[in-house]
Amino acid sequence: MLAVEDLSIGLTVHKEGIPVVDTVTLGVEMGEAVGLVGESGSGKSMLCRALVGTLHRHSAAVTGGSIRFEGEELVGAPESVWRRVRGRKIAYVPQSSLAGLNPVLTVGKQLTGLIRSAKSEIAKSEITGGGSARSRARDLLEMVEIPRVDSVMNERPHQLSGGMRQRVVIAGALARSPSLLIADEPTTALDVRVQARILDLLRRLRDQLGMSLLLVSHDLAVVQEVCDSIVVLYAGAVMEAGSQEAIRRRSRHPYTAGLVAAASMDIAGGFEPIPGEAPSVGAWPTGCRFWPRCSLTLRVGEGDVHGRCSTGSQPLPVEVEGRLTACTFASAMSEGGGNRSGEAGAPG
Amino acid sequence: MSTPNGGLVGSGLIVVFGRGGSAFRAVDQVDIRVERGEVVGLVGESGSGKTTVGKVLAVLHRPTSGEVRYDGRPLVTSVRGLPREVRSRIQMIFQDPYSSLNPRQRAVQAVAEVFRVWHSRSRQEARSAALDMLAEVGITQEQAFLRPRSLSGGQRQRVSVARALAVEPHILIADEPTSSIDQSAQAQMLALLTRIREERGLGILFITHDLRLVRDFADRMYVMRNGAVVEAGATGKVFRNPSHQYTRDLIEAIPGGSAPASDGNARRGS
Ligand SMILES: Nc1ncnc2c1ncn2[C@@H]1O[C@H](COP(=O)(O)OP(=O)(O)OP(=O)(O)O)[C@@H](O)[C@H]1O
Ligand SMILES: Nc1ncnc2c1ncn2[C@@H]1O[C@H](COP(=O)(O)OP(=O)(O)OP(=O)(O)O)[C@@H](O)[C@H]1O
Ligand code: SF4
Ligand SMILES: [Mg+2]
Ligand SMILES: [Mg+2]
Repeated sequence: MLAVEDLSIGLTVHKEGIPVVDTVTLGVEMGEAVGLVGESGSGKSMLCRALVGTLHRHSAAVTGGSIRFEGEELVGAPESVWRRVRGRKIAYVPQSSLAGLNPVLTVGKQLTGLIRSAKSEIAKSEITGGGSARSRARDLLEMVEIPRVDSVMNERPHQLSGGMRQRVVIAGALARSPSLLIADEPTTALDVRVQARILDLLRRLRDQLGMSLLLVSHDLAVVQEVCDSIVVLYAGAVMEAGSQEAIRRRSRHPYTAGLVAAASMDIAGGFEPIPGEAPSVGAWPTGCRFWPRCSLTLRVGEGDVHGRCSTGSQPLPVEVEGRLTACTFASAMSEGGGNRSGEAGAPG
Repeated sequence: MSTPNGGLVGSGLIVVFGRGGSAFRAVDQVDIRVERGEVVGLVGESGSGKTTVGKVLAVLHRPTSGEVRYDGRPLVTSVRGLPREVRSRIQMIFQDPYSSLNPRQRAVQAVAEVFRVWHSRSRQEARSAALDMLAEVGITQEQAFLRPRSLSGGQRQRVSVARALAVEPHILIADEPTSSIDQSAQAQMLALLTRIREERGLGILFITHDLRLVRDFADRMYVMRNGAVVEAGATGKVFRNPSHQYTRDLIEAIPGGSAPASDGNARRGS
């Protein structure tokens, strides 16, 4: 239903033309949940904004590639098309929950407004029960486990706690029964128990209504919870993409292996699974963007960075054992040695 | 109660929001203390009152009743009324980093301003100190010249941490300071906080929903529920013998979670 192909995003002011997302391909099928992971600054939020047509608010624009949603091309689509799609068919939970809410309207007004604006009667009652817009709004808040729903309906965003605000935004995104939900770090303010229940809710909506999900998270554990497949982004490019299982247990890309190791690691341990820092936008290295931090290149280069890693351009993802991997030496990962994903062996 | 080490103490704190029939007690008789050089975890369900307690302790919100003392002196007025010296002693990192940064200021300006205003550094000095501080939280030179709108979520969070630390507070109230950053960046930030705590005796109230962080970094901890503190004590003790069901549930939900090796911060100084 969503097919992103060779999508590139560049900045439009000051550093005009500098890429933040580069030739990204990913797809979300109907009823599928896809996880998008990667370190801070890798371009996850920019990619989401491209999918809801709001890049211009962040001094960026699509510079190449295509976004097809339910057969329709969205790159370069007029605002009238976006108005039909954005929020209705593709709902978006932005990373900052304040950005997803109107500061002056009460929670009740915002939710009932969204519910009333939904196009068809069917859409209105799919997720919530029947009844008035107000009672549906209350249903939505209860679904996301908002306490003291009656008073919260009459409160404004600044009166809510961080975690409540985050859940109100999720409720708002679900209000119009979207066919695709894009959620950018939707549970960062919630404890593991509430998080698990919200993720479970998303999973149920996917199963029962066939809602598709693109879930962005810096936390691999969150993504594993709900997603069928995972896309790993690094410095604007896809490093690896495949089924959740394949990525988690047998990654063929050294960056993914590092992420998997980090996820199962003790924070206080002082052990760095991926040494160094991700490069800034505008300062991506030539060749494979990951080479300055890669341990595999040292292994295949017998102690030095392999020439094929540090020259040329970012390797494009190619199929390796049922997953797409963007590493010239991906096959060397499967021979063990440099593969740390084995020892990471994330439980369950 | 005297606090020889110059601690921040809130006693009998009550915060009521709204009036009449819709009045709601967000904080209910809370006693809480953070001393210099210690890390205190504050955990609890979403909406249990953690942020509100943090704001009251940072003298950003006036409690309905109860009092906050620092170094034995009561802090009762609004922030503007406090002596400058006291104001600089207590800093808060806000849960939503977006709302706490000035949208027109580049990251480096936001931090340099602190060095100029609080530490009377020259323009030049302030700028280079700001770049150093930002580098410590993992913000590169290029990113330092971006405005909040152009920073990613995790970058924004790190800038607001850098800004609060630049004040060189004695007590830092950190409200979910690592919620938007990945493990590597998290480890880096926690190492930085640990170092400053050791070098300068920084006391930290660490508000978080991530019990792993409390287990690994906090000497003591408080658990809140419905506005009240339902559990308090040395981290090791609470983990080994949680008295409240909510605490037990959270501990059990930690992936591979178990008690730390000893009371307090088991890995301090490592
Ligand atoms: N106007 C700009 N000038 C320079 N760099 C920019 C600009 N706008 C965005 N960037 C950079 O683009 C990169 C991608 O940002 P994005 O918000 O997509 O990251 P992210 O993967 O969502 O990270 P996080 O997990 O921290 O939210 C960031 O490094 C950001 O600083
Ligand atoms: N300015 C305000 N006006 C009215 N109610 C408020 C205000 N600020 C907070 N509250 C309410 O007080 C309660 C506690 O909020 P607080 O932000 O302290 O929770 P929290 O423990 O930090 O939760 P979270 O983990 O979700 O951030 C919530 O029910 C919230 O709605
Ligand atoms: S292409 Fe080279 S540098 Fe890049 S991930 Fe593979 S081995 Fe490492
Ligand atoms: Mg982001
Ligand atoms: Mg809070």
